[in-house]
Amino acid sequence: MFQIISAKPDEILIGQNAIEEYLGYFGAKLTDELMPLVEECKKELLECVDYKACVMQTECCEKDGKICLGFMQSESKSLSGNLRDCETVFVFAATTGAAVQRLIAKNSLISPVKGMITDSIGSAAIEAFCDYINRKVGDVDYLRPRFSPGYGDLPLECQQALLDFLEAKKHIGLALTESRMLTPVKSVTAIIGLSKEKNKCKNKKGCMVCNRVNCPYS
Amino acid sequence: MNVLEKIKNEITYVDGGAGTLLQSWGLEAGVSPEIWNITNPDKIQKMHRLYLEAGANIITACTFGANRLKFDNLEEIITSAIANAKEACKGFDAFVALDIGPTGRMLEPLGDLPFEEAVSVFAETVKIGAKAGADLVLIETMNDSYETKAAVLAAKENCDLPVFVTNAYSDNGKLMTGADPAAMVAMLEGLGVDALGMNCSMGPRQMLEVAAETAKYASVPIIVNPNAGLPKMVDGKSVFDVDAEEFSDIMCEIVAAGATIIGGCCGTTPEYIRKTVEKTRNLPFTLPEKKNKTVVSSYTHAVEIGNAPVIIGERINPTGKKLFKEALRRNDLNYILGEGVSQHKKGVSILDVNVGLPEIDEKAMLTSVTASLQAVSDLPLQIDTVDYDAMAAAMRIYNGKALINSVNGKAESMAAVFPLIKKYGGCAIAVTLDENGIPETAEGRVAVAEKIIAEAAKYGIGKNEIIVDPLAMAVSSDMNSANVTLEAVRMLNAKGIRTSLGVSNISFGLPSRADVNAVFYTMAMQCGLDCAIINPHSDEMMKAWHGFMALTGKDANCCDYIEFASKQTPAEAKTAASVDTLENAIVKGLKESAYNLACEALKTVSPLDIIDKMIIPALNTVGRGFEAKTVYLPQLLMSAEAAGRAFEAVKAAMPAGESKKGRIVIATVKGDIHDIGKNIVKTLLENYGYEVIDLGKDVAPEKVVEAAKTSGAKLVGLSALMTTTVPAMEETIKLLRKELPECKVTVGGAVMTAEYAAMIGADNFSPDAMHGVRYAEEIFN
Repeated sequence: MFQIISAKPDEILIGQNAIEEYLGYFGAKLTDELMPLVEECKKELLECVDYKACVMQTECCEKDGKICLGFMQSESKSLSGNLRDCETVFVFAATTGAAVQRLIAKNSLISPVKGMITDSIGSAAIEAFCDYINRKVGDVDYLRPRFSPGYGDLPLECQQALLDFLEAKKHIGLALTESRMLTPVKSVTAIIGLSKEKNKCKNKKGCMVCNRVNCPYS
Repeated sequence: MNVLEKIKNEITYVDGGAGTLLQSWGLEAGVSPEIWNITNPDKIQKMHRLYLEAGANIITACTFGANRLKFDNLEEIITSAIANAKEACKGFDAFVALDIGPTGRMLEPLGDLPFEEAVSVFAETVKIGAKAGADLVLIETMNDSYETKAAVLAAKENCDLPVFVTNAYSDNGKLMTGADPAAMVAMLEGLGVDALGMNCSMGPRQMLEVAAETAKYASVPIIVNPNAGLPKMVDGKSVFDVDAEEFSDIMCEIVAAGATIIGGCCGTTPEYIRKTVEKTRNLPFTLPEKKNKTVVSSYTHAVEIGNAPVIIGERINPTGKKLFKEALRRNDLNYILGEGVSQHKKGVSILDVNVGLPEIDEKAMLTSVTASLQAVSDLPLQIDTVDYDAMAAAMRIYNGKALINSVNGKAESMAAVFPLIKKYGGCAIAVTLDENGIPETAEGRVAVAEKIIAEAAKYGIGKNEIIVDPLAMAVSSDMNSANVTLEAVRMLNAKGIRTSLGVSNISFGLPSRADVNAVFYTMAMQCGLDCAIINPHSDEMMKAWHGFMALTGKDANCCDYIEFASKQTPAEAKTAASVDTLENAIVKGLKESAYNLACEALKTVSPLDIIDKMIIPALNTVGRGFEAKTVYLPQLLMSAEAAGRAFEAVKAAMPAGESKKGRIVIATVKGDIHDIGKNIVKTLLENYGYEVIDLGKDVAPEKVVEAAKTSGAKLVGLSALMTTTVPAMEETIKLLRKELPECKVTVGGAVMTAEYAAMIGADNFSPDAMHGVRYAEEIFN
């Protein structure tokens, strides 16, 4: 099943904690001098953000040591672990839109600190939108942590196949540069396994930021 | 009857979505249908024939993705595609369109495909298609205005066929990159397309709104080719939620809304087209009226000139600005872009862009500033130059329909400017002077204006595209000059001719110029002035404009005026009271306090002492805190910006010739478009007194080496965020080692580690910005 998911800015809650973490404040509080700047940048971002995603449900199986998703095959052990026992996966591409990229460029020009803050809010925004997509595609309790090209041993090279499969350029305006960066920036592509059992992973942010050693999905 | 005659006389029908049919005949998902032109020509011809039998008059050859980025055997594919379509058309009164879809890449500055490369990709497709015998070019499913422009230019420059364009709008009624229908109509009609409209991405119901919106602005025939509802995949197959009956019913409404060229896109089988033809064939045929509006546009929106006075910001102009001239000579684009962004914040609607200095390459600079401004501001631009080559180059790469400043009544000027406007689109500021100089009377200036308008008409450029500037001359040297100018504005206005003025000339030679300018501006607006080039940082001018808008009923409920008048003092003011020393202001990151306290300190302390005993120690305090992880990066940056403001005050008081500590070249490497980290390092380095030559992002190794060579920099800083761009960093280091073995290289970025840095041959790895500063101190001391 294919679907296009879009969301209004006020439907996506961008967590203050997430913004602070992207700014490097793990646990520490923002100073009084910084707060108004963060608020200002957040307001600007909310005025122009355009959340869009395309999601395709597809089958998943392991064959000859490879994980097969129909549109691509991979020898990635990490992806294979992540999708163990999953027969269905959701492949998605999501973006905050071209205007957010322009806002980050503009604010960086006005002031590097504003640029940095806007960039961090953009990261927090796409992350929050990905969580929203998770909730939209199925019961989050049964979804594996998101897995993106570039995580573990899944090469960035598969990014193009994923975007082509979703026709992401056409549906949500998301493309790759020659060095395989997503444009607009603040976009994500990922694969989410649909598990038959309740998900044992508590890390909502996906495998990229997780260092767990004895992961049931590795 | 050729296709252009047909679309002007009756409803014309385009075919539907090929993909659905071809897939049902065995085309596997992921296989390019274009290949079938060669491998399954019979099926392609059959598909075309089914649409022709359903009543389509325009058949789109199966060339949607046919470009050299995707296919090596381009000529074979396109030639067979056109041949298949022509074969199918035998016996039908129908036309074959060379179908051109997007390249699949994103154009700069959002992506990395250069504009001219996109033009050249499309040009190759157009040349082959035209040679193969296509009857028209249909550029479709474009969701980026810039890529659309590249395709249209390629078509116009490489064939004489009619050009039709349809864009793919999102559910918010805009293209993915931001343009609304008004902006697209302005740009596309400016480029001289024969018909325009929309296709794909939505069903007929949603498209009805976009069609109605387009009809408000368009003067050429409107094309509407919707999907059969919204695309959904069920069991691996495309399914759409609007059937042929409902589709064709809504197509009747779409015709009533103003479309005269209709068909379908994804999911619309011949049945959809057949029913649409049956139901709409006898509906009244009405072509869009000529709108005759004066409109310029950017990549997001259009600005109409003629309703309420429009402000054009004058600040991107070196005339009389020392810092601006220096920025131009240093190629410091950030300074220039900053002028654009700050005017945007002040509320201007259009930005004038003038970068003419005798000693610089104006063509290169104007295109570079135009391209860069388009990355940070969505305001339409006014391209302001007397260098026609520079004008042409900037108009070419402009993403929208620009305002052109200027043409005048001299034959040479009109012969140079009008062909450019005809080709690229644009409105021209027409200055009322000619070979005989500037007429002294209002009547004389109106006569020159009419001469210019008459000459423009010979090129097919309407009166609505000309905005006349009847010239404001210094009232200090001719006491009647304001009267003449105002009278000319009145007369032009009465004749329905749009007007503009460079207002501030009026006060030349007088004291308190802003006051005189504001009064003159108000008087001119009262005479019907449509737009003015002004300094939006002048409170007097902005007060005049806001006041005028409120008083003449152009500001609903005076909302804008109230907001303007109640602009709060910056949030910083609240905490400023608790800051008593420059050091504290810098540590807390309070820019304005730092500036004010530096000015205060200058009364008693020497500039060098302020730097050495106040600014640098304060920065060091913050820097040490950062290293000890008690201060975080945003605070470090705020302090750096506050120190930067303090420096500005100190610099102004410093004797000339005070040299900087040393020069450093920095860049984000080729292929990488992330520059936040690099910008942070730059800010800090500047605060520690280094002259930083910032080459920006996506910088080729050769450019880095060239900049290091010409500047004599002892240190180069390189940034890369992605593993995929680290090879480019290595290549840059190699080239630097070869050409400038003495030069030190420090690297940083999210993926870098000390080991990685050593592996690719860097002298130093900076895990953070402070570390970069410390390394610079080491090198230069």
